[in-house]
Amino acid sequence: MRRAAGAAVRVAERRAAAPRRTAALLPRTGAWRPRPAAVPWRSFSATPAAAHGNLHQCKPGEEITIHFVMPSGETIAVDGAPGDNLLELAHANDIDLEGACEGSIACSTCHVILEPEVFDALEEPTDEENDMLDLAFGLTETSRLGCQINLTPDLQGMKVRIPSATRNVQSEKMQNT
Amino acid sequence: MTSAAAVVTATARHAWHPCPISILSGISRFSWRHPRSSPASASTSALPRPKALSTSTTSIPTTPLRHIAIVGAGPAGLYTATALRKKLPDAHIDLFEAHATPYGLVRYGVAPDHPEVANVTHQFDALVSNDPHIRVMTSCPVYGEMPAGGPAGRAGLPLDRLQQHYDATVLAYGGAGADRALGVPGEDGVPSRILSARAFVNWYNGRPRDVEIAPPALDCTSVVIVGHGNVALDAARILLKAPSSLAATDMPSSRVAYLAEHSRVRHVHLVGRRGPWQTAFTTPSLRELLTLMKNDGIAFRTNPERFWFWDKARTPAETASRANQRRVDLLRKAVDASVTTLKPGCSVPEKEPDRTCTFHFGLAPRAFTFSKQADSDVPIQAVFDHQEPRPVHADPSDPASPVIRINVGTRDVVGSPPPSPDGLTVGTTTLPCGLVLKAVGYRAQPLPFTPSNPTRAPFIFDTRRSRVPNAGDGQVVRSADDPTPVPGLYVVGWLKHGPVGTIASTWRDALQTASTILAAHDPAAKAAPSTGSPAKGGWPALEADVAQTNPALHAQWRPWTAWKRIEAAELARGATQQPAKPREKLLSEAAMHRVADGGLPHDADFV
Ligand SMILES: Cc1cc2nc3c(=O)[nH]c(=O)nc-3n(C[C@H](O)[C@H](O)[C@H](O)COP(=O)(O)OP(=O)(O)OC[C@H]3O[C@@H](n4cnc5c(N)ncnc54)[C@H](O)[C@@H]3O)c2cc1C
Ligand SMILES: NC(=O)c1ccc[n+]([C@@H]2O[C@H](COP(=O)([O-])OP(=O)(O)OC[C@H]3O[C@@H](n4cnc5c(N)ncnc54)[C@H](OP(=O)(O)O)[C@@H]3O)[C@@H](O)[C@H]2O)c1
Ligand code: FES
Repeated sequence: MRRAAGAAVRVAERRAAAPRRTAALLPRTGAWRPRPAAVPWRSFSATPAAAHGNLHQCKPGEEITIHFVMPSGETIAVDGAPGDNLLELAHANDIDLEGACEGSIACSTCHVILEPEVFDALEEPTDEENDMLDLAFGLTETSRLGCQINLTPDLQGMKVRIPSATRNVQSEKMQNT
Repeated sequence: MTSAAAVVTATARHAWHPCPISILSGISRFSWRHPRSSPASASTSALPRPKALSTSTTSIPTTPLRHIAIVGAGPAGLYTATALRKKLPDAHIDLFEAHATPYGLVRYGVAPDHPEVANVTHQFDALVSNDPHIRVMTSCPVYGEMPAGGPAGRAGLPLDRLQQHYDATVLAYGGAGADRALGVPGEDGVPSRILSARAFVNWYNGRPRDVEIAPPALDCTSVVIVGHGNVALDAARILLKAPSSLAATDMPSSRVAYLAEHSRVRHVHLVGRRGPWQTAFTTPSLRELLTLMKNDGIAFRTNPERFWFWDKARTPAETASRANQRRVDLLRKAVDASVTTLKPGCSVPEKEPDRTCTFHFGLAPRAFTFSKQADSDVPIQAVFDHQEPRPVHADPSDPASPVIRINVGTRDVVGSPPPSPDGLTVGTTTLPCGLVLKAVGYRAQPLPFTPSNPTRAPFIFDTRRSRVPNAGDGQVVRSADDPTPVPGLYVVGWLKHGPVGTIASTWRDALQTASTILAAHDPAAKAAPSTGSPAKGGWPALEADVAQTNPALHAQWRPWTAWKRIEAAELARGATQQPAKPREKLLSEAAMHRVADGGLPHDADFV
């Protein structure tokens, strides 16, 4: 079974043969992933097709499982297909990763932190990505822009940490509630 | 995962610049904590606390949070609404926007060749359009109070109406109301030739003409831009770009045509008063300009001696910042490349390039003089003092203490120590030009019609720091000198921390203010029994109040659907242009109001 480091692990079981979830077409309420009843989910970044309408198809067994580690410490595992990028994947699965410029390397809000081995195995970020990363809050040595990471089979099981957007105590609290 | 040690300082510049990042990561000026917000407060309550603060902690816990008003529908207001909505499924959030259009500086600030930045409006649109709990009223300026004798001109909504009818009121009206001034002779002398970059930005972004300005004088070959921030680079790019490359953007066609017909600008001077390490522009903006220059054959120019001299003036924190390192490296490369192409001693005289962009360092504005010779291409003489880097130590009396800032100062030619022989830190430089753009920063202002008698206002605007006084977390306080919280009043965005920051930092800032609001209220409470006041009525109560007491405003304000009609007209017009544009903006408020009310746009509305 899949395991992840965080407290609660929710694994997205998805029938790979079925068409990939296209967020622009499907209602975004009543998502497959259970949410606490007190907080009915509303789309935080309901960015239409441009951001996440183009998830890729893949054959059964070729799904790539990604573990998103939320600022609260909770880990959420979701399946993607080769070619999906982390921002699209997060949005299609209602995972709170901001993407203000919808993947055009113009905002740095999709900042994620990778494990060192994964970071090293990936191709170097472009100058443009590095420039934008310079503006990311809480930059680390293994930071990347989520919108620039495309899934490949090598990334199977990787952990992607979504940093807290603020270091403010109360904000942390808000994100944890 | 990575250790804390791996965290790289985002930009060391924030150490002294009033930037949201330092505020977010730093400690607020006083630590006011609501008893419900943390168990730790039980122990802290034993500590002596300012009287005003302890009073507020007893009254706030039961304050409900069902009706929230937000003043301004720019990124800060809309991101705050987004964050609150997510946590408060039953709350009603109403935004009040002065203009007929939402999105603030995303529409009237962000450069037309940055359409990706405007993508953020898609999510705001989805938020407002699909949610009956969120209302945006446009053409509804909020005022400090009702102008005496009734409103002359535009009707407005006095702030106390919002405070009366809403559980929480969030000030998000931005910091784009005015400009910082240079305070040097001649800067206001020739309004068409010495103007703020803000006026130029408003012009090229088609801010409604009933609010702003005439076209700038572009009948000259040389333009001086004062300031080394991103707005300066935006202005330089727009001036240096081929107008045809702007045709397919949302820059109004009439502005593109004006640039194509009237602009003779070929040389742009970007003048900063400090050095490369202290530049305020960001690496993406710098790289974008340098790439444009490379592709369009625009030569990079600088005084290399002055550049290298100033390169040495930096603080340890500046050097340690990855962002600073990469930005300065990019500049160094450009300087190196420009030096090697100069070919000193070459027998064939080098042809002066047709178009140039010159970066000047260590030059502070001294005066602008204007000569009235009608035929002169360079009627303005912009005079700058050569500056000397002045390290500011953490402990001013101890030169061994860490350097926290590089300031600038002008060295007396007569005084000691002796002036540098090369004149790097003494003397003046005069740049003859036909247009000066002052890109030295925007300035936030108090709400229009703020009571002059401070006892009648809920807080006293911090004019010095150009912001609404707040505890660093978005809680509005009485004044810069009085940290008493103003219950139920919050601030976010440029208005909270001063006019700096990007969409990304504004987003983080909105999360912070939203969390402050959530911590200070109890969403489950119906009314505030402790104060005995009745439950707030929110929008229905406000609307009834306005209908009765402020009929002019009731006739003037418009719902979100009005903006959608304006947008539809703009998109339709844009699609018919050659080449097609993402939108063709309506250029007057009168036209916007007509279209908002179902009328047709006229050709003249777009000119
Ligand atoms: C020229 C320029 C270019 C920029 N380019 C970029 C860029 O490329 N990328 C980037 O990330 N950031 C950019 N920024 C920064 C970005 O625009 C700001 O960070 C952001 O807009 C700040 O949001 P805000 O909501 O605090 O203020 P604003 O955007 O100014 O929004 C304030 C809103 O309040 C309204 N308002 C004002 N007074 C009242 C009143 N009395 N009553 C009711 N409403 C009122 C205004 O009309 C406006 O809609 C740029 C800024 C400028 C100036
Ligand atoms: N593409 C983008 O992301 C983008 C585009 C536009 C704007 N923005 C953001 O919008 C904000 C505002 O930008 P801005 O350019 O208006 O302001 P800014 O970043 O604060 O830059 C102002 C510049 O003016 C200089 N200056 C100030 N007072 C001066 C004086 N009296 N004499 C000479 N120089 C003076 C400053 O130098 P000192 O440091 O020495 O004071 C600084 O170089 C910034 O945070 C910016 O990043 C972002
Ligand atoms: S979404 Fe804007 S940089 Fe990735």
